[in-house]
Formats: sequence, C-alpha cells, structure tokens
Amino acid sequence: MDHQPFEDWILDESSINQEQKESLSEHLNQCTNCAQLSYSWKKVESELISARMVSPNPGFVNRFQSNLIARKAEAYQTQSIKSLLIIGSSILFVMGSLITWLFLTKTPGEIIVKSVTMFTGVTEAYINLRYIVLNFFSSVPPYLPYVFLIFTIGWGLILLLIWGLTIWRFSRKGLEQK
Amino acid sequence: MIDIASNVIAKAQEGDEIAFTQIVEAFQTPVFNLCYRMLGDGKEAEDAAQEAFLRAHLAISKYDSERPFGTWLLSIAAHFCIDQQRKRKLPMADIDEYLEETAPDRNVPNPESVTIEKEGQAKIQKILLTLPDIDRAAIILRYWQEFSEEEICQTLDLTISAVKSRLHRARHKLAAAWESENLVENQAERMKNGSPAF
Repeated sequence: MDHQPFEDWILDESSINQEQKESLSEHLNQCTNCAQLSYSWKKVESELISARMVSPNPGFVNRFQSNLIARKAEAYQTQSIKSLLIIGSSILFVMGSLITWLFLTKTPGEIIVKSVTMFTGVTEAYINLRYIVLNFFSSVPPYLPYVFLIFTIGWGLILLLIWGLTIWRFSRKGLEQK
Repeated sequence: MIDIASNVIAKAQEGDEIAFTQIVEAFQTPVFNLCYRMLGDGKEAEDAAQEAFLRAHLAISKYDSERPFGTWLLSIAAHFCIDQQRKRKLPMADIDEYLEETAPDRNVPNPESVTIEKEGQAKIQKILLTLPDIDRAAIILRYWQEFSEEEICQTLDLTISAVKSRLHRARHKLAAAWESENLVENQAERMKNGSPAF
C-alpha cells in the first residue's frame, strides 16, 4: 500500500483541504500502520506542546559572572604566557643565530681577542664619559643644578596634573554612562 | 520568543557588563532548556548554557543586529551542544530526579496528574534523546522555542528544505519510539500482573 501522501499529511504542519481530509480518514480506516503513526504522533505532539521549559537552578546569573571573571583572568594569563614565550624564544633565536654565525665565521682565538678588545673599549668609553660628566659639573655655574632641579620638578608636576585630569575624566565618563 | 531591547544589545556590544547581565537574565531559561533537552543531564546543561553565554559574550561585538537576537544566541547554544555530543557518546538522563529538583511549586498539586505529567515528560525526554543531534535541535526549537521553519534554518545553518525534511524524519522517529516505548511498558505491565505459570 502506498503511504506517501498520507504520512506527509499526518506528520507535516501544512494544512490539508476537505478532500484530502476525507481521503486521509478513509486511508486511516484501512491502513493500520498509518493509523498507528497518526495516533502515536498525536500523543507525542500533545506531550511536546504541553512540555514546560526547564529552568536552571537559582543563581545562574551569579555563576555566569564568576565564570566570566575566571575566564577573563585565564585569558589574560594565557596571553601573558604567550607574550613571554614569544619574546623569550625570539631572544634565544637571535642570540643563537649570532653565536652560530660567530662560531662559523671566526676562530676561537679571534673571538677571544675581539671580546677582550670590546670589553676594553667599553671600559675606556665609560671612563671617558665619566670624566666628561664630572668635568662638566665642575665647570657649570653653582646655580645650574638648582635650575635643573626646578625644571625637573616642574615637568613632573605638569605630567602629574595631566594624569590626574585623565583619571578624573574617565571616571566621570563612566558614571555618566550609568 | 523572549524579546530584548535593542539598546541593551547595543550597550552589551560596546562592552557594558550590566547590559550583558540583563541578556543573561532574560535568556537563561530558553538557553538552559535547549541545552537540557539536547544533553539530557542537568549538570551538563548548566555547563553548556554557561559556556554558550561566555561564547556569546566573546562574540557579541560581531553580532549582526539585522538578525533576531534569540536565534543568534540559541544558535551558539545549539551548535555547542551538537559539538559536545559529537565528542562523546550521550549518557541516558535521570530525568525524574532533575524534574523533581527544578519543578516549580504549584499551590494545589494533584498527585495523580503530576505523576502522569512527569511520566509523559520523562518519556518525551527519553525518546527525544534517540534522535540524531541536529534533528533533536530542530524539534526543540520548533516546540519549546516555537521557532518557525525559517528561524530554525537560521539557527542551525540549514536550508529550509533540509529543516522540513529533518522535522518530518524526526516526527516519524518520535512517533515510532513512542509506540515502541508503550509496547515495552504494556508488556512489562502484563508480565507484572500475569501469572508466572502462563
């Protein structure tokens, strides 16, 4: 027996006309399979329609907020670890490349000589710089350190004021949003 | 379907946590219900619903306001549940225990009708879990969220004809499962009442 249009009429939500209704009713009287399907589906449909929504246990929103904070902290930690790993591996890569390049292009003797020369050069540069700075401070007029101090404190105060204003502006904007 | 003011969504998109909390308050029941009906376990449904909201929080800046918010949010929850079920075999639910825990207080309960209702609901949940994941999601959206076929196709990223055929197939399977459940129950009842000699 062909059940096809009748199964569709039983299960689908599209409405059927009077003629189709009569045809379906006639078929249901003859076909036990379709009659059983129709009966079972009507039962299931009525259960589905009457089924209530299941609500979560009380405090769902609070648990969400806690989870959100934990998730943000986790994301921040992951990001920090990632950044550290990237920076660390980059430094290691650069250092490794330099050391490899050095050992491939120079002999150990040359490396030692270069290192000693570089160390001597750096020490010499430091001594020279120290001499220049000391010489400069011994030759400046006596009031100049005070001028420098006032200048530094002045700029410090200006920057502090700008920082305070920025904080105040942000906190005020936040309050206005609420 | 629950509606939420567009300005609340706009604020949440700008990063306003209070606005997002309002969204969670408004949608906690539909999202939890979807997860519960999909997974069949209260604890897993709680975790899935929380995860769905966390994912929505992360993606809300990308939400297209042309689309209904409910379908967007439930789409996240449905896809998460489908993924969860693909990852592992679904355990059967202890629905009676959970319905007891979460059932709202009714002032004048009729014990008989409550028992019948609970039995019916337990049976419906049991046979719901026999459906394939996407078919089950389509049925839940159709009957619990009262989504149209158009909304179901938006939520589950399916074509309208796919939704129609999935709903048809799911209804057929549900009816068959209901029938076989009743058959098993009737046989068990007959065995309980009948004499062991026969």
